[in-house]
Amino acid sequence: MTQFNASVFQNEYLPEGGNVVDAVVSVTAVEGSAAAVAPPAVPIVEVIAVDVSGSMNEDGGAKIRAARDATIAALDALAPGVLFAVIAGNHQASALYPTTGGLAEADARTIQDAKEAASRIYADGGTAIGSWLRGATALIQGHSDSIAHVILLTDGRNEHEQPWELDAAIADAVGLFECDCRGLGVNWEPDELRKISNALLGTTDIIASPSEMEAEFRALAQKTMTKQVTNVALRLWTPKGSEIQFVKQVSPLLEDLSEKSKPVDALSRDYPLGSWADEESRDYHVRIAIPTGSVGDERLAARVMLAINDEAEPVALVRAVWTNDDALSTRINREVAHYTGQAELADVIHDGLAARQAGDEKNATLKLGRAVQIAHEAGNEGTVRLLKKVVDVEDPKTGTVRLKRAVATEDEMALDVRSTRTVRVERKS
Amino acid sequence: VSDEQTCPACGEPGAEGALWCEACGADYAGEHAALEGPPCVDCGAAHDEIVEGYCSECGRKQPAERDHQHEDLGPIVAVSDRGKRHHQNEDAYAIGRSGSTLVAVVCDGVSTTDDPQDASLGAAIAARDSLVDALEAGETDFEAALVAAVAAAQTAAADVEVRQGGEGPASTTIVASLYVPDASDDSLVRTWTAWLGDSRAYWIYDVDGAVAVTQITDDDELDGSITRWLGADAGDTAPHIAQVEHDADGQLLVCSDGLWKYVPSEDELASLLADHGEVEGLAQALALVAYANERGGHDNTTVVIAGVT
Repeated sequence: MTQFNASVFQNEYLPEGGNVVDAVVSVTAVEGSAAAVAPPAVPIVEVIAVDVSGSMNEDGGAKIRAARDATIAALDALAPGVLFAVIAGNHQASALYPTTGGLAEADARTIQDAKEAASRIYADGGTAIGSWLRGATALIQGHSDSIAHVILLTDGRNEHEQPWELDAAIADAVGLFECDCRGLGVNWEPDELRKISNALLGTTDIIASPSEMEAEFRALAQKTMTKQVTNVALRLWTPKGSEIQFVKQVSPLLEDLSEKSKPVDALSRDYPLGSWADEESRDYHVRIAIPTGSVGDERLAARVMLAINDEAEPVALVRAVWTNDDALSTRINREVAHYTGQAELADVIHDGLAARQAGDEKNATLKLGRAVQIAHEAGNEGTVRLLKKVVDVEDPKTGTVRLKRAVATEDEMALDVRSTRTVRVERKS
Repeated sequence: VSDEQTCPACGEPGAEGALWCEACGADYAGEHAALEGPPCVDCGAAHDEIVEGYCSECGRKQPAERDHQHEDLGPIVAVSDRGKRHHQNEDAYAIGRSGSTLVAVVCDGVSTTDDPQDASLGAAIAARDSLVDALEAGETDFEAALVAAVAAAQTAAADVEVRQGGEGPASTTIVASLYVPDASDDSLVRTWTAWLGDSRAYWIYDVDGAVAVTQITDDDELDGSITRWLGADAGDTAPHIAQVEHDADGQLLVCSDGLWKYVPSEDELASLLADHGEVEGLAQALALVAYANERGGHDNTTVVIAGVT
């Protein structure tokens, strides 16, 4: 049985009158004691929703061939006993396998049959991504206690349904399954896919070239196979009169969870964290405004709990201690500062790219220069590399950059969708 | 004062004088099964809302028992307070009486050592118990009683477990005083005082309607550091002893440096006492501690007043 450990990184000291507490909560899933009776494993459901719209015929058939191979690679990664299905998506969702609808249980025969069906994928029609999600919802609906995951691939925009139809499909899927979205090429809309993956606790990324698709699908399916537990929530008790200003996942990806919370009781809220693999570790930045106290007082700012299927275990305390010793209250916690910087990094990249597209070169240079500076300082080499495809870096320390004249669209999109990738603070062992 | 007690519900040992079990919340009186205790100090939520020392309504950490303590035995009163800067109270007092003789002990744990709060409390109680036992047994050699009491205190302080790789063994100051009214002359009081370190004893008296103060002790202190103490790594622990004869209308004040650092001279202390002349007994001791906290509460403060009329 999976259990959770948590560490809190914070400066608990507040000056007189201070009322805002920042803390980074680092949560790790660990395998429970072997002595415990093993509970039944949580079933896993994997649904592959692959774009078969007409545009997939472009590139001399390279895209549709890659879609076939990638689907086959994902099927090969499924463990025996996993429930699965393949949806062919265009302006509607069709059951590619099993053709009778429903989910198949993975074994040698069903995987072979599914791979044969995948090898016959052909492209035709439009793009209505909401209908693909609705198809997945229909398949997974009866398996709400399972670890359910959808791999969604599109090469285009959601052109053949109204935006509200997509929104409604997303809303129906929340809490039922997680969804990782992949955009093939450069003719898809990052904001559209991000809306899906944000709501469904997944990721959005670019697959710039069809040749990268097979490895990506395999990796996504393999990741699902490692999951041990689902319906996990970060539960925060905060004192009466306090306000949780935000809860953000800050590692491995930046993700604001504030809007997703649900009240548990008058003083507690749940922030859904989805499914976890053993040994998986994620960091959260919480900011809470609490009633102030007198110098020398201590108040609990939050009791941090991890809930699995609504059963909560306390894992950590966030504290506030009022002091008139400035040396204590002005101390800046390293983890909090680091992730505050990483959040600023994502913001300045977003703003810089928007300014660049609007033709505001001065602002774009300023913002992207600041991004280079933060990424360099934090040792976020992956982001530095992505930035260097958009700007020429003169001095990373001061953030002195020049905009590149010619930038490949896929490089700009990669920077956009990967700007939320963070690096962890190097911790002393 | 009762001895250390055992919880009737869970069997955990409890502190002397406690009314309920810190471990399970059961009431020692046995009237109520559990959950009896003081409400939240901040929002007033019921005691059963307090979980692991924090209020489940307002989050406020509940004061540790030693954060603020006071005791009123009539002719002798004591107050000890954490102050405003320290996260725990490392001072301790222990008071007692045998007939008309009063026993006052104040210990101040050395904050640069490990677990000084255990050394100070252990030493204070050991010294007080040793003195009360000796007095009850009819001891009249008060100097010998004090030497034995400080030896008992040293044993208790040295008994605090030493941490591997820690800051150093727990250490504490001590000042132990006996207030002894003369058996035949009720206008006469003698005090015997033993000490190590920088906790102090004063005689407070009246001169033509004005408050006067005489310091009895002489600090073991050099360049801001104490030179003698009790604890596992203490050198010579034979105490200084002072015997003084007074007019009976005075009072004995024993305190930690949390108070006297704000009023280091006899005149300053006298002036402070004059400012609080309208209150007496426990109220006066509380007022002195409140004064230290108003001045910043930089240290733990403990005040014992003997000879309250």
